[in-house]
Amino acid sequence: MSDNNPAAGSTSAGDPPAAYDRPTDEQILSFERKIKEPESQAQLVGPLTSFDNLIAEYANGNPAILAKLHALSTSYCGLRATRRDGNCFYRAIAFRLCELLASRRGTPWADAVVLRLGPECREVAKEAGYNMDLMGDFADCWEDAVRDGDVEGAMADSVVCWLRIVTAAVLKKNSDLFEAFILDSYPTLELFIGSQVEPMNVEADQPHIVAIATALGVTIRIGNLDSSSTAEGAMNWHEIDPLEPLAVTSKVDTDGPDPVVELLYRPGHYDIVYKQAA
Amino acid sequence: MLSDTRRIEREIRQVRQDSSANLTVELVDDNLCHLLGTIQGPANSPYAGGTFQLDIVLPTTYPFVPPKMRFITPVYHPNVSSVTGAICLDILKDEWTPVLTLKTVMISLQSLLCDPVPDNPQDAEVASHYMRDRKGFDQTARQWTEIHAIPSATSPSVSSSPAPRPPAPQTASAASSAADPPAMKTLMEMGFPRQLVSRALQQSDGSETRALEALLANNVV
Repeated sequence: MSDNNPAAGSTSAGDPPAAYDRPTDEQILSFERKIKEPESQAQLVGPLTSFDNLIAEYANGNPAILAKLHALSTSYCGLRATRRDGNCFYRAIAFRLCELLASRRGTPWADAVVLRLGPECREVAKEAGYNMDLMGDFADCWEDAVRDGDVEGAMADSVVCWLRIVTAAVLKKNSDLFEAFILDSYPTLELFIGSQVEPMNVEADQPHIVAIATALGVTIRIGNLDSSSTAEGAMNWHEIDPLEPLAVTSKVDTDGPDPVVELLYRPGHYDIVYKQAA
Repeated sequence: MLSDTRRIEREIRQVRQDSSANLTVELVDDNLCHLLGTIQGPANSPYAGGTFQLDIVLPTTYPFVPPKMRFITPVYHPNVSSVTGAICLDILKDEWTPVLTLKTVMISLQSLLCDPVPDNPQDAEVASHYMRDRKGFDQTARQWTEIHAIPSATSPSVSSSPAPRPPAPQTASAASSAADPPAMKTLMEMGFPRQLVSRALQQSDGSETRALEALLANNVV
């Protein structure tokens, strides 16, 4: 019997609903989808574009933000916009890291990262108690995308899910450290993970960033596009290093400094930014 | 997008391998998108001894979205609609994560039967009964369990056929009983006979307002 067809058996729509006659989950979800429709059609990770659109967006907005964007565009060539679905942080990391690894294939840095994001992440997840019989599929998708330099594959929901799991696993492994930040708002780390890390479409915050940098062994730089006034529109950059540094065996000078993933942050959203070639 | 059939198959196996939890899951059709599950009512609860059937639909984007679950067996519980069986449980909504499985959700439903969350109700009237009169609530929940979830000799009149929704008459009496869902009770208190009310609610998907409309218009099929 259908419980999701409000029109069934009735011709009148004006009656007050009975107390128990609240919308079904399907009705709530479909309403939510309708509201979010324009966003749900946006590309998961868009093409590399200049900052012009963003500058136009803030043209009549906050002058401090505008100054930061102008300053940013002198040393950065552009950005990739990500879909605002609450998964943007994980998707941006996966996409950019996959690109960076493809461009540095065979370097000691890339080899060390591949080791960290593959078998080492699986180990951490297993130690944290995740059921690898089921979660291993998500890890496979991520490792396949990295191996093939397949950025399309790196955008998949299964990759987002796997990165959420390894983030949670690092939080659990370093619970002493992270509980200090989390227990203000959540009674236990487990509850925090269950509602703020594992579910899809929930945005990432500071503890998540530290944890994922640690899981993947990559430095993440985040430019905060906030409205604070700074001299000459200087961006406030936050550089987050892994808690345990990457074990890069032999350093070859010609590779240059280790690549970092750079993101632009506005409240509730992360896009990928690209530095101009030196 | 195709369902992740490999994962679903493994999840079904997981449910079946764990004999301690007394869960079952069967395919409804010969695809993996529609399942029939059962959970056992927890001991020390008004649901003890009952077997509760669940309708489980797995959307094509599962496991990135939650499974759709509702009780087929009528359950008198603050977080379960007494009319449609819809369930209010955080992990079936916002807090769903692909880390969870059919087995973990079914076990959570068992815990939900033990520990209702009346301040986040699915059925407001049942929840207010729970808050107001715990003893009376337990009695009604127990009665519902005996009528609908225990296929024994305790109620021979309904054991012969699957329990219709809303609940079948327990006796020939025209008076409403505590075991009736609130909508049933309200309409019967207006003087409509039980059989008619039951059919009206069924054809109106459980909506009291639409059932009343049908009753007043003499439109009950």
